[in-house]
Amino acid sequence: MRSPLVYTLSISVYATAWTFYGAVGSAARNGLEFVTIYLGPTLVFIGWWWLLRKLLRIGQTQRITSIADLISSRYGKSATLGVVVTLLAVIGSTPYIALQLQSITTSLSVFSPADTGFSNANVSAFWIAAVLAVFTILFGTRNVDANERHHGVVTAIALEAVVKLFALLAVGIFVVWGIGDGPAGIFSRMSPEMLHTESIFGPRWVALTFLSATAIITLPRMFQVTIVENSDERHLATASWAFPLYLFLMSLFVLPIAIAGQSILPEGANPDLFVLTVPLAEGQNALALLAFLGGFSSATSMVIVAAIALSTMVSNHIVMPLWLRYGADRVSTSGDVRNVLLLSRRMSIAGLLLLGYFYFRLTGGSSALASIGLISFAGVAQILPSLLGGIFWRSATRTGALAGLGAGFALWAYTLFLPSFEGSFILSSATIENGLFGLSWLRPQELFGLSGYDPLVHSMLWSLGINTALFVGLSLVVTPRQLERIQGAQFVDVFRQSDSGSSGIVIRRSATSEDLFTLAQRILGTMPAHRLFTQAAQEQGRPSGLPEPTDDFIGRLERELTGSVGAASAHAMVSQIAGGGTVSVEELMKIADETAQIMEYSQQLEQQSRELAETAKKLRQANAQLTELGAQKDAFLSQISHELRTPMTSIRSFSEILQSEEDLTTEQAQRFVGIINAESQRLTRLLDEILDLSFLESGRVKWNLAPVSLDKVIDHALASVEGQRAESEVKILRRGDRDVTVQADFDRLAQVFINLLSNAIKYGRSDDPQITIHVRKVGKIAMIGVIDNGVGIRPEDREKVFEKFSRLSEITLAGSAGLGLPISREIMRNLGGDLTVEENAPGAVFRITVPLASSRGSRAPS
Amino acid sequence: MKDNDNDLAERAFRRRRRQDAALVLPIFGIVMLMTPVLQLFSRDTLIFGAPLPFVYVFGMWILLIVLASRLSRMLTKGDEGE
Repeated sequence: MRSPLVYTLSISVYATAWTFYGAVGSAARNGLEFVTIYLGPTLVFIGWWWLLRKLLRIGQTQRITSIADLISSRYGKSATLGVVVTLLAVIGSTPYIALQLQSITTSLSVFSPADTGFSNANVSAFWIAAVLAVFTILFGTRNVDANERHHGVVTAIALEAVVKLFALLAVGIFVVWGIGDGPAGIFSRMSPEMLHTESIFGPRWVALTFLSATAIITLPRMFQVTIVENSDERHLATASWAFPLYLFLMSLFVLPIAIAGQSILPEGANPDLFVLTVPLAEGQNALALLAFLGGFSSATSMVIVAAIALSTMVSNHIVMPLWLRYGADRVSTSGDVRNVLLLSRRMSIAGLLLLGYFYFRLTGGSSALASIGLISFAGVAQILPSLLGGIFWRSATRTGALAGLGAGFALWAYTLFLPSFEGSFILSSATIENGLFGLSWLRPQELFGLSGYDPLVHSMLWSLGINTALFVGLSLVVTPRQLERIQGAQFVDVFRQSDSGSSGIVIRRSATSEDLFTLAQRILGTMPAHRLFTQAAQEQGRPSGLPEPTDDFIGRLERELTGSVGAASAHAMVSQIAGGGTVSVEELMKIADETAQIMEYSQQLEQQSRELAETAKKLRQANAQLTELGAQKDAFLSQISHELRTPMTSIRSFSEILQSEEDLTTEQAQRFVGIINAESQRLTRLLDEILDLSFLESGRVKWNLAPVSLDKVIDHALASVEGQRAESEVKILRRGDRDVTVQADFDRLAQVFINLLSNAIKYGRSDDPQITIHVRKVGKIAMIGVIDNGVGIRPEDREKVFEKFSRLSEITLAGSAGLGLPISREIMRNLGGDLTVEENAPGAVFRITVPLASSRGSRAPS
Repeated sequence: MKDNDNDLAERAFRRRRRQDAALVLPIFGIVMLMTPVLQLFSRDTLIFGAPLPFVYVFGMWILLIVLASRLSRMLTKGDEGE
C-alpha cells in the first residue's frame, strides 16, 4: 500500500473540514479568495525540485521525525529549539483542531434541527473530541516505530481523501447540472458583486497564498505525511502534479456551490454549511448524508494526523528530555523507555484534543471556519524563516533561529491569536481595542500605528518581518558552535553527500555498520578492522558480512578506537555514527583521516628514531668489533713475532757459535747444525701454517670434495704420525663403525686427523698413554671422537684452544705454536662439519663432525 | 566511442535543462497568479458563460498541473536512465 497514489492521497489531509465546508463559506463571503489557500500548496508542489525534494532528502538522511526535530537537529541538536517549535506547533494547531470539532458539531446540528441549543453543541463537541482521541490513540500509538511511520493510518487517510473528494464532486455536479443547467446556468445566478472582481489581486491575495504555501511545509501534520511518512523519493515526483490536481478538483465546484447556496437558501443561512444545506434544501437527503460523511472524513483525518504528529513532538522534545533528566536512574531497561514514550504520546493526544475543545468553548464556536484556519497558518508560518534558512543558508545559527522564532511567536500571539478569543482569554476586549496598558501604539491589531491593513496581513507583516530580521541579523553576528556548523553543512549540502537516493530503513541500518567499518578501517587500519568486524559478526552468529551494530558491538568498537584516538573522540565519533548520524560520515572521515595522518606521521618519526638508534647501536657494535679485531691483530702480531723469534734466536746463537768457536769438535758442530736445521724447519712449518690459515680464512681455497672412505683417511693419518707415536710409546685404539664414507677433501681431512693425533700424542701424557679413535654415524653425519687419557683441557680453556696462538696452561700446550687447531676447525667448517672440544673423559676429547656422502654419489660442493 | 561521448554529453545537457525547467515552473506560476498579471484578467467578462477571473485562475491552475506532470515524468525517467 505504499504507492505514489496513496502517498498523494495522504498529503490531501491538507484539505480538512475547512476546505470541505469553509471554502464554500469563504467563497460566499470573499469570492475567489478561497483559491489562494490551494494555490500556495500548488506552487510549492510544482516547485518540488526546489524545496520539497531537499527537505525529503534531509529528512531521510538525518532521520527526521517531525518539524521540531528538523529545526532542532539543524541548529546543533538544540533541545531548546525543539521545545520552542513544539510549543509553537501545539498552540498553532489548537485553533485548527477546534475548527474540525466545530465543523463536525455544526454539521451534526444540521441533521437534528431540534437540538440547536448552545450547551448541546458543547456537549457533542466534547464527545466528538473524546471519540477522536480514543480512535487516534488506538490507531496512532499502537507501537513506537523507529521512523515514526504509520502505514495503517496513512492508508486510512488516503481512503478518507477519496471519500471527501467523491462527496464534494457529487455535490458540485448536482449543483451545476442538477440545480443550474450547466456551468453557464449556475454562473448566471451569481450576484455581480460576489467575485469582488476589482479587488481580487491585492496584499491579502498574496499574503494568503504565501501563508498557505508556508503551511504546506511547516504544518506539523503536513510535515508528517509529506516528509516523515514518505518511503520513496519518486512518490514525491508523482505527488508534485497529482496533489495540485486533487486540490484543483476540490476547488472546482466551490464557487458554484456558494452561488447555489446564496440563490436558493434564505438570507442569513450559514455559508459554511452550504455543502450540506443545499442538497437538503433540494430534498437530496442521500447526497447530504454523503456530504456529511465527506466532511466527517476531512475533519477526522486532520485531527488524527495532527494529533499523531504533535504527540510525537511533545513526547520526543518535551516529555523525554524531562523524563531522562529526572528519571535517569530508570533508563536501564529499554522497554521502560518505550512505555514512557507510548504513555506520553497517548496523554499528549488526549491533551491536544482537550485544548482544541477548550479553544472551541472559548471562541464560542462562532468564528467563520476560514479565519480560524488562517490563525493556525500564520502561527506555524513562524517556523519558515528558520526552516528555509536552515536548509539553504549555512551561516544560519541557533541564536538567530531562537530569537526569530520567539519574537515571531510572541507577535503572532499578541496580534492574531489572543485577539481571536475576542476578549475571553488573557487579553480583554478593552486591551484589544485600546492597546496594552491603554497605550494606543500597542494596539494588537494596529501595532506601532500600522493601520489600514487586514488583521491577518498586519499580523503577518509584524511577526514574520521581525522574525526574519532577527533570524538573519543574529545569524550574521553570532558565531555558531561547531556542531551547528557541521549540521548546517549536512543540511545545506545534502545532495552533495549522497547521490543515490537512499530508501528504506534497512539500507540505512546496514549503512551504519558499513560506516562504522569504514571509520574503524581509517583509524585501526584495514586488517585489524577486518579482524575485529569479522570476529564480531561470527560472535553474533553471522557466517559472513558485517555485524549488526548492537550496543555491545558499538561499545566494543568504541573501546578499540579509544586506544587510537582517545576516549572523547572515539565516543563522539561512534555515537554520532551509531546514534542516527548527527554528523556526516564524511566529516568523521575527515577527522579520522587527520588523526590517521597525525598517527602516521608520528609513527614515521618513531620509525626514524628507531632506525637511528639501531644504526647507532650497529655502529657501536662495529666499532667494538673493530677495536677487538685491532687488539686481536696486535696480539696476533706480537704472538707471531714471539713465535718466530724463538727459533730465530736459537738459529742465530748456534750459527754464531759455529762461526766464532774454532775449536769445535765435528760432533759438536754436527749437533749444532742439526739444531739449526730443526729450528729452521720449525720456522718454515710455522710460516706454512700462517699462510695456510690466512688462505683458509680468506676463502680462496679450492676444495676437492668427493666421497672419501673415513678408514683410509684415518689409516693415512696414523701412518703419518707413526714415527711420533712409536717415540712416545702411545697405544692407538680404533672403535665404532667401519666402512663409513664421508663427503670431504681427502688431504684436508687427513691434515685434521694428523693434527689432532699429533696433539694427542704430544700432550696426552700419562703413565700408560692411550688414544682412542671412535667413529659413529648419526643421521646424515659422521661423528669421530679423538680421545686421549692425559690431563685433559680445563673447562675455561676449551674455546681458547681454537684461538690463534693462544697460550694455554704451561702443562698442556707448552711451547706450542697453536695454529694447528684453528686451522683444523677452519677446515672442518669449510667441509660442512665442525671441530669441537668435549668434556674431559678424563683426557682431552676432540669431536669431528663431517657429512656422510649421499648414497647416490658425490655432489658438487656448495 | 565518439558517438557515445556525444550521447552522454547530450543526455547530461538535456537532464540539466529538465532540472532548470523544474526550477522555472513555480516562478512562472508565481508570475502568472501572484503579480499584477492577475489584475489584467480581473474583469467582469464572461467566457463560456463563466466569469473571466474564474476561468483564468482555474485555467492557469490546470496548465501548471499539466506542465508539472510532464516535467515530473521527464525528471524521474531521467533518473532511471542514468
